[in-house]
Amino acid sequence: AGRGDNQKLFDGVQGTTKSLTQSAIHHASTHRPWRRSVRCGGMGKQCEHMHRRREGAGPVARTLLLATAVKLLLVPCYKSTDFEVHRNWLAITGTLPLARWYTEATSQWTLDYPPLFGWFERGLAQLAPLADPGLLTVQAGPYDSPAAVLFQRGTVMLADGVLMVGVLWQTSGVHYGGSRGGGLSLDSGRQLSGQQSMSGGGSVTPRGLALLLAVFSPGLLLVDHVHFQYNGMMLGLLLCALAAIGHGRPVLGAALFSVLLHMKHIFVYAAPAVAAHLLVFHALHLHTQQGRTGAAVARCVGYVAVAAATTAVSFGPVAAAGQLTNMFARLFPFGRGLSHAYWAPNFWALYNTADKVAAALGKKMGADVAAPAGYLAGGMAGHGGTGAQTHAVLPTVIPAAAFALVVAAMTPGIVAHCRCRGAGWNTRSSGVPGGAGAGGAMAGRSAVDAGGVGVAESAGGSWGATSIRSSGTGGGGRGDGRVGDAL
Amino acid sequence: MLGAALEALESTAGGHSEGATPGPCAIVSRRWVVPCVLSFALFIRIAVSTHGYSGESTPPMYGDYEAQRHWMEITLHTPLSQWYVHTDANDLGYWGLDYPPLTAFQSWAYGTFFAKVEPAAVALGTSRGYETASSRLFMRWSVVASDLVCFLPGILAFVLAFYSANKRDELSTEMRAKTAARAAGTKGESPARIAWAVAVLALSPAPILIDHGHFQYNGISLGCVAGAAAAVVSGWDVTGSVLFTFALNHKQMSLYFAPAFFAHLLGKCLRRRRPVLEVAKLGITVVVTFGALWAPFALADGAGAEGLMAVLGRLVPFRRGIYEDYVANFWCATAPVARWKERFEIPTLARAALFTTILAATPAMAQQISRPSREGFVWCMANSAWAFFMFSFQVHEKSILLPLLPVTMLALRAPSLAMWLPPLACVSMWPLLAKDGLGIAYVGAVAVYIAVIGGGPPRRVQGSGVGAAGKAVGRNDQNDDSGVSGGEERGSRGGILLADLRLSPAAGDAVWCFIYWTTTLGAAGVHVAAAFVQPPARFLYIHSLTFTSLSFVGFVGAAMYCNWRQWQVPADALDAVGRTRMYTVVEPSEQEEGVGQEGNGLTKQHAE
Repeated sequence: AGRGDNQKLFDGVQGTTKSLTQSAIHHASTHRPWRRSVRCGGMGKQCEHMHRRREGAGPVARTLLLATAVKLLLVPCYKSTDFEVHRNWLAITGTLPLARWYTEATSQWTLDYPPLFGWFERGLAQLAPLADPGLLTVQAGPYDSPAAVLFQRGTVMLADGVLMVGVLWQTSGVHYGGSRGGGLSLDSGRQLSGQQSMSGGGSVTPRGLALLLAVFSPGLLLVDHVHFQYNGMMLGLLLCALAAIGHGRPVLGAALFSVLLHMKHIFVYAAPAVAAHLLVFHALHLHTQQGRTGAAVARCVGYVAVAAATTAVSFGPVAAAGQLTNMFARLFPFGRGLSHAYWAPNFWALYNTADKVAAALGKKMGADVAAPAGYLAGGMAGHGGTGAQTHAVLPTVIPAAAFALVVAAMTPGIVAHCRCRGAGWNTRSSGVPGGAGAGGAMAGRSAVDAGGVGVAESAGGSWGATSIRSSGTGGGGRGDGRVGDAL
Repeated sequence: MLGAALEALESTAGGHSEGATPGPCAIVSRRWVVPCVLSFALFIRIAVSTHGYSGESTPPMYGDYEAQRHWMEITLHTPLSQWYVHTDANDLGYWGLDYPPLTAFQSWAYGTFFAKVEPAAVALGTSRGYETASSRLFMRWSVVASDLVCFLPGILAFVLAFYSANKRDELSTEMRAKTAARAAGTKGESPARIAWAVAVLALSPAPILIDHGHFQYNGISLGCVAGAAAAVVSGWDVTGSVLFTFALNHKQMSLYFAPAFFAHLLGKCLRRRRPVLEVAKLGITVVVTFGALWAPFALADGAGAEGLMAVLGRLVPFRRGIYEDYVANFWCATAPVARWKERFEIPTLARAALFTTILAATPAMAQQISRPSREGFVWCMANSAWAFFMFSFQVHEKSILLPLLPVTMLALRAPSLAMWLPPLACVSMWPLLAKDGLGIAYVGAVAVYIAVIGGGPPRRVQGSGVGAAGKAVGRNDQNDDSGVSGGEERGSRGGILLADLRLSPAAGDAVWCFIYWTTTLGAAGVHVAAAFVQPPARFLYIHSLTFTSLSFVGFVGAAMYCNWRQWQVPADALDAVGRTRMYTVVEPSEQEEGVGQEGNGLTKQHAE
């Protein structure tokens, strides 16, 4: 009962973190032209150098210190069964050979994440005996001790480092005139307020704000540091992938995203949007706009290569051990049914409710409705592709139908995104450096990026793309408008 | 961190210049900053309260948590006349009530409420060691409620009364003409700086760890003291006396501040037209308040003076030794060499303690009697508390909360001290906190404080407003402790990582930097040693002793510094009514040159 109930929380967290971050980035980018012209005048590089010096590590270090301190204070708080789930995975991956990871079922909390997460747990298992050797016992019942709690909680705090890296990378500025193909145009040394008064040491940068909002995201604090999961790390990887793409290194981004998929396959939610973005914006445009067909093909080959390599590293050993079938059965538990016992706030919640209401009405009107008591609370589990009836009145939803609906729902967003290469995109990709014009272009550009995330989110049935509404000024106007419309 | 954030917020909120759009920070209106800080402080308190407490699941005596619960049980179920008396129902050997009446009344009030929620938790006799999850929650929330009702309003009142400009601070017409050019210095602190001062007081880790971790209700008496100080610096001496008497009657430890209140109020009265009358007024106030609080014990069952003596007898702890456990004060730190407990009888030591305490508090008192001032009064509170902490009889490690309070109250006058001392106070209590299972809470609470407070307060803004012409003053404050940092902007936020972290005070101040990092490294070293080095059989308590000694050195320095600072404060001016008013006039030129304490241009003005 422990895992799926986070899904909705998790989705919310994902949306919040990304939209906040994107919003902060976006805001900063709209400030860029002004900052450049007012504060720096024409001093160019020297001035930027000063800005970088000013910012320093202080605010970032203190933000991280504060976040970690708050997490430490939450150590004795309630923890869900997910604590034992991960404890059990630590024991399985730490003590058993890979061949048994996906068959081991002493505890009910079997491993149902992809192999790379298993390897991550195996890495943690090397350290676990230092804290408490009992952590590595494969047993049916739960294991708990103060040292075990501190160790497990500590690993989540450390893994949050990936989130912080993701935010910092995503928001890292381009100090050399955009010659490396953009980035998110956030000048890290810039003070948030943008007033010349007191500007000497004011160190709250948009970047600092993004970091603060990400590490103090209440959803993440609740799900990761109270409930117990590693979502911070996963979202951090996602941000890293997006940052790599945004900084003009799409193949690296693709590799990072592949790794993320093989850590926690729920991120397949975002895969269509990311794939479409990588293909259209970072490969196809080389062909259509620059005529570099060879480069475009090379890039596509690069995508396929890194994805295949990641998959080989992840699934290869499992296949070698003959465990692929077992693994897929664990990864995609269609037998669990359409909705989890705790429904996610999605379309199927309405569907289930409508079914319940229809069943009640039918009964009242004397119809013969076969609805066993409490069938909805069971989470619609059980048909497992067997075709057994799960709903009383409405048709049973088979996995293929759900999948088709998902594809149908995400298609418009992806198509719109792929068609939204506005003026901002063109300016940026041609590498025009600096200046107010470039600033505007970057604003448009980051709106496009935000749009990509937004598409991913809407496809995943989540929310949070509202930040795109605050679209940039300048050259990116057209693109923004279209993203906004599409959403 | 908070300082820089507030600075940015302040400049965002002040009029926007051409071409600037409000930053994201503008979504947080300035008026919400202090409520936000207080909410965060509340959150930290609740988070700390999820950790261990004194005597958790350790029969037969348990700890302070059980003492407080037991007092609720006793006050609820026995008649008032027997609260402080050994009877069949009230075994004084088991956490007998030894705090003054207000604590007893508070226990009764909470107990009454507790009995409605969970009667078994305060059932007479049968509830010893009662620790269900729900009763723990009730106990924890009773402390949070106390902080909400007493401590947080108390510190807020003080900060607002002490740091913001009020009408009484405005100069008379004549003075205004003379000092028109210097008027900036008479203004109160900016909202950003006030918010920072509130954060220092509300997030100071030591009171949080002791009240919400270890388990006590210091928030009530400390809140009353802060409220009393707020009243006194506002000129409401009668209210201040009443509030301080409340504090005194909640925990007798508030006596640590008595010399300061006495000296300051006496000094003020002496400078008024009818000193005897003024003194009598305050004396009667104190006596009446005392009378009201103690009368029930004389009246109940016609006990009379005997009833009062029973209470009094419980409050004086001469039965115990000169110090308790390991505490960073003079007696304990010098014990390994002087061997006080072995060489002297308790009465001798008690007399020695009394004498040295008075001696140590004398300079501060003399200063306030002869030159009473608002700021000097708060320094005097610190100094008399230091005197008691260092030399008085039967000092607990927790007593460090008392000198710590005025030091944090003076956060904007001595930001470096306020950044440095609170973590050190926690270090000095480490042996106690470790015993209570508060190790993680200790690390967390101290780190929260360092992260939020580190970096220092927002800089002062010169000029009438925070408009486009507003410019941060180079020096942090005309009379703070950042030393002589020169005209360079305080805290150029660049440079190497260590300096840039600015956990340390002003970058320009090498001395404070040195003190800060020495202390940090020392504390880290002691912690590492305590964790990894096995103490030799002959010195089993060597680690406790190293913690105490390290803190003792710091505390001695802090006490001397506080005394020195107090003597730098001249007397306040008196207005026509004879009330003390405080204003500081800053010479702009001096300010820009960064002249130190002596040049802070406080004018002495006697209206009489």
